[in-house]
Amino acid sequence: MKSENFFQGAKKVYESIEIPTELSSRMESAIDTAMPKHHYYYRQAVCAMAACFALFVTALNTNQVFAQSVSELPIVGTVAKVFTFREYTWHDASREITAQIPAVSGTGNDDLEARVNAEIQTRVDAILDEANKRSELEHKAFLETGGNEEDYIPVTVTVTYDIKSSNEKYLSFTITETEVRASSYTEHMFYNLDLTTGEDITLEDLLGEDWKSIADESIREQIAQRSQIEGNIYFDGSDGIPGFESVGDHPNFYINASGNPVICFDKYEIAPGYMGTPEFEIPLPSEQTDS
Amino acid sequence: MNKVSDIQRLQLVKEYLQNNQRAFYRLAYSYTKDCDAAMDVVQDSAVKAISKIYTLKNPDFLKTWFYRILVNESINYLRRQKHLSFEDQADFLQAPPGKDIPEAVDLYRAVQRLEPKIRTIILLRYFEDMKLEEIASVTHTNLSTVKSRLYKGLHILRCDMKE
Repeated sequence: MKSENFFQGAKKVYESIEIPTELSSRMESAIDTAMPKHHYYYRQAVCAMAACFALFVTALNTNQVFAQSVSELPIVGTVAKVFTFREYTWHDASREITAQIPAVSGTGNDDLEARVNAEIQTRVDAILDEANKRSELEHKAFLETGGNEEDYIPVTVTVTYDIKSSNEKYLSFTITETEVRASSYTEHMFYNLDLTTGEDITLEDLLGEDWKSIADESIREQIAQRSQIEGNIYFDGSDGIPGFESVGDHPNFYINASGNPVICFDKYEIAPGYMGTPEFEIPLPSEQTDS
Repeated sequence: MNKVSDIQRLQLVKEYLQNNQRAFYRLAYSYTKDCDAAMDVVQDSAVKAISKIYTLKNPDFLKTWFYRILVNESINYLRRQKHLSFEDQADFLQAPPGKDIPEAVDLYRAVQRLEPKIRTIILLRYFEDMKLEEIASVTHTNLSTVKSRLYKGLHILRCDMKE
C-alpha cells in the first residue's frame, strides 16, 4: 500500500483535532507582546548619534576624566539622554546572548549619571552572570543525562531597553531581560529620573499622598473594564489563585509620553501567562498636572 | 531600505502566524496532548519567531523556519514533562476525535506513541504534507537521517497495525 493512502484516515483524525476558541486571542496577544515597540524617530536618532558616539563610547568606558569632559559638551547635553553603552553578543552550544546595555548621559547632572550608570551595570552584569550559570548547568545536565549535543536547543537571553519618555524635566526608561527556553521569562527594570533633583521619581511625587489608593482604584476599574472583552482574563481569587489586590509599596512603573505613570505587573502576577505583562496607565489628578 | 524590508518581514510573519495558527496548534497538541500546553507552545513559538525575526534570512523559507521553532518548542516542552508517564496521557489516547473509522484512529494513536524524533517526521510528512527536504530543514538534520527515521517510523507503524 502506498504510504499516503496508509495515512489517509489517520490524517482525517489529525485534522479533526478540536481547536480551542481562545487560540486566536492568545495568538493576538503573542503578536502584540512580541512586536517591536520602538518608535522610528527614536531609532533613526540613535543611528545618527551612533556615528558621533562610536569614537568615544569606548573611551567613556575606560576613562573617567574623559567621561566628565564629554558631559560638558553642549551638543551632547541636548541630544543624548539614554544610549547603548555596551553591546554584547555571545553564542555557543548552551546559549545565545544578545545584550544592549544603556547608559544615561547629557543630563547635566554627573552624580545622577554616575549612580544610575553604575547601578545599571551591576544589575545587568548580575543578570547575565545568572543566565550564564543557569544555561551552563542545564546544558551540562542535558548531556549528562544522555542527551545528544546536536539536539540541544540553546537558551536565548536578550537584554534591551526602551525609552518611555524623555524631556527637560524627567527621563523614564525600562531595561528588559528575556530568557527563552520552552517558555519565555521576562524581567524588567524601571528607571524614572527627575533631572532637576537627580532623584528617582516616586508615585507619590506624581499622584500625591493618596497615590496608593488612587492607583489601586484605577487598576481595579481598568481590570473590570478589560475583563469584559472576550479572552481577557485576570485572576480573581477563584481557583485559589489570588488576583490583583493592591499595588503594594514599590510598584514598577514608567512615565509615558503624556506624563502619566504606567504601572506594570510581571507575567503571571495578576493574570495567566498569555496575558503577557499587564500595564495600567494612571491618569494624574487634574489639579496636579501642572504643578 | 533595510528598515522597510524589516517591517515587511514582520508583517509577513504576523500574517503567516494568524493564518496558520490552527495547523500550529494541531502539531503542538500532537506533542503536548494537552490543550493549554499546546496553546502555550504556539504562543511562545510566535513570540520567539517575532523576536528572532532577524534569523529568517530568506522569507521563502518562512514555513520551515517557523516549524523549526514550533517543533523545538514542542520537544522542549516534552523534555520538561519527562516525569509524566505514558498512563497520564491515557485520557487523550482513549478519546480521539474521529470515531467512525477504527483503523484510522488506531493508526493515529500509534503515531502519537512514536518517540518524538520519529513522530516529528511522520507528522510533518503525512499530516502536514511537507517534502522530505523541508523536513530536513525543520529538524536541522540531513536528508538521509530524515529518510532513515521515516522508514523506521513506517516500519513500527505497519507492525503495530498488523497486531
